[in-house]
Amino acid sequence: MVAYYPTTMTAEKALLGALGLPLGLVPMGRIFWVDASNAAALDAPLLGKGEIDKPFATIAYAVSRCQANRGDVVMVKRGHYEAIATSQSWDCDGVTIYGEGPTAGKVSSAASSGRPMLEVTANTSAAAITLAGDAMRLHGIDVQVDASLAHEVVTLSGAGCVLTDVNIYPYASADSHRGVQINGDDGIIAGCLITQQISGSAVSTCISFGDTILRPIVVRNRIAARSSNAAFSIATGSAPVDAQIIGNRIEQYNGSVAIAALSGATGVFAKNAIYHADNTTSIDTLIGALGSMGAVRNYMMNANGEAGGIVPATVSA
Amino acid sequence: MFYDGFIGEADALLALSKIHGGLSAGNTSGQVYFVDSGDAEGADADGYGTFFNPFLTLVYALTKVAAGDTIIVKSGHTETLTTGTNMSVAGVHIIGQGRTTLRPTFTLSGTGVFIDLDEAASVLENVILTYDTATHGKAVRMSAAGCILRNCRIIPAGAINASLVVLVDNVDDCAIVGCALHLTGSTVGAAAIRLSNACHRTRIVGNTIFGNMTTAAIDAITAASNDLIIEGNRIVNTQTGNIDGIIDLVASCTGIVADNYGKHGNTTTLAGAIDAASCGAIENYIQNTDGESGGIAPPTRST
Repeated sequence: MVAYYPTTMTAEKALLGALGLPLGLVPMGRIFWVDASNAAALDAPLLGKGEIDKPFATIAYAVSRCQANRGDVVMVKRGHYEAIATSQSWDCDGVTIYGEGPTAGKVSSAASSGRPMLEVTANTSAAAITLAGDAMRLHGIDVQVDASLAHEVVTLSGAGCVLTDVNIYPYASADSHRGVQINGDDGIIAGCLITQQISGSAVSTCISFGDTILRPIVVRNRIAARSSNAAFSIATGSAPVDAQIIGNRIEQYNGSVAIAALSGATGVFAKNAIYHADNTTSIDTLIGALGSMGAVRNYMMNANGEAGGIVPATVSA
Repeated sequence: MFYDGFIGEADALLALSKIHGGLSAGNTSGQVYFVDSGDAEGADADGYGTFFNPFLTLVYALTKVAAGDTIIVKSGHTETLTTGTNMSVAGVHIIGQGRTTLRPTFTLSGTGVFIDLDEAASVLENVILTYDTATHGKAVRMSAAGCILRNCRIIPAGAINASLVVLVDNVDDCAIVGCALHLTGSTVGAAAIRLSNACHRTRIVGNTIFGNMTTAAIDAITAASNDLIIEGNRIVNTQTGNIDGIIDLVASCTGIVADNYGKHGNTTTLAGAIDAASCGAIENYIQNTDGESGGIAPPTRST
């Protein structure tokens, strides 16, 4: 291809292409690297800082160096660890934060050999991580909660923010936390693992929606809920509009708590596979309120040895 | 694996594109031009169109392209189109940068303003189109063979719905893939995607369609089309009085209509919600009453 790409963009473009971003949708902004495990890591605006061999130490600082709406990318190196003791608000329109490497799962120390690990170490005053800019994307990061967090782990507050392939899980069984809240229109949660504490009651829902959120999309996530609230709920105000909640794998371990509390919602709720630990209540009750969403091919199993039944049970004709 | 431009609009796109083939725009040996309305170093003039010195408008860029060229429109670009805009050079590929709400946005302003893919193998990808009057007969017309509309959002700017969103106008081998099409204003539209006359081998795959439509979200009128693929679309039509509200194909259309699902505002019956004519209708499910699960449509299974 004969292109008017600046020469410095060629290698970066090739790199991102190798990561699976197709031609045409490849960001053309700058790339900043983050790797706290690198001895040269430093959060400072020095010449060359943010390059792969002179990375920044924190994601927040790297985001602060990005230019809005130019497709800048923050690449977070495999093995990066960062403790989060105060709320983080990352605010730069259009920035992608991309973790490299496979997940190492829950780890007992800062030394993760896998993808970048963020550990929430205190009950922050608001969501532990907020994507505040529009159309930001967080991808390929593990977030471990090691505190009694009374807020969301991640909130998508900018319009059109995207959360993909992010794993959220507790470190210890006593840790409780909410999951992810979509608080801006057109937010997307896709391919994520969102799990609450191993035992006991978590404080709230796994995925919630702010007031009258337009066109949110929640697809192909793994959700393990232990909350005393529904796995999907409305955080405040009115229900989401034209929502798509599709293809999720959902476990609910807390008694007779329903899966969805979405009265008044519109859109599509389809192809979700659900396990519910309650084995006495009707699955038709356990699905909860879906508002006016088109419910299609959702199946729930609630007793060992049985196969999942369709929910809601009454089929349109 | 999820991809920036595709998730949300059609997460099934990649798998489906592998099955059906031919949807990749591929690399091109042509020139690449950049467009960015917000770049102070840009201009609509000869010598511009580079990454650092882009054109300011797509309209101007389209006057400079030759067959097989690519126009990359940068994230955040905005442009109001007050007259019809034609992609009138074969094989030109317009690609928007950015994701979700920061994709380039084009406002179709005024009566009858639409984008016309009117030369063969034109591709329009990853942009947002808004329209602002009810007099739009359509927002996009595909009037040449082999054109592709991919990963675009088309949505009313206010309360007014267009009559149609996409019109495939008597041409073959076009594809509408991974798009989000909205007729969600307070007025009533006609259809989201219409095949007018014979449009053989059209592929309508992995789209989401929300709106209030008087005919069907996807319809084919006038003459039969052969070997259609209408698959994996998620459709909500809130129209209560229309029985054929989801997919309505004129008699003798052939192909496959599969894995489409959603909601229909007509609570009376599912019969006719999907009229697939002579296409193989497989695993399509539609819900028509709150609190129920979608039933298979058409309701009668082959035995």
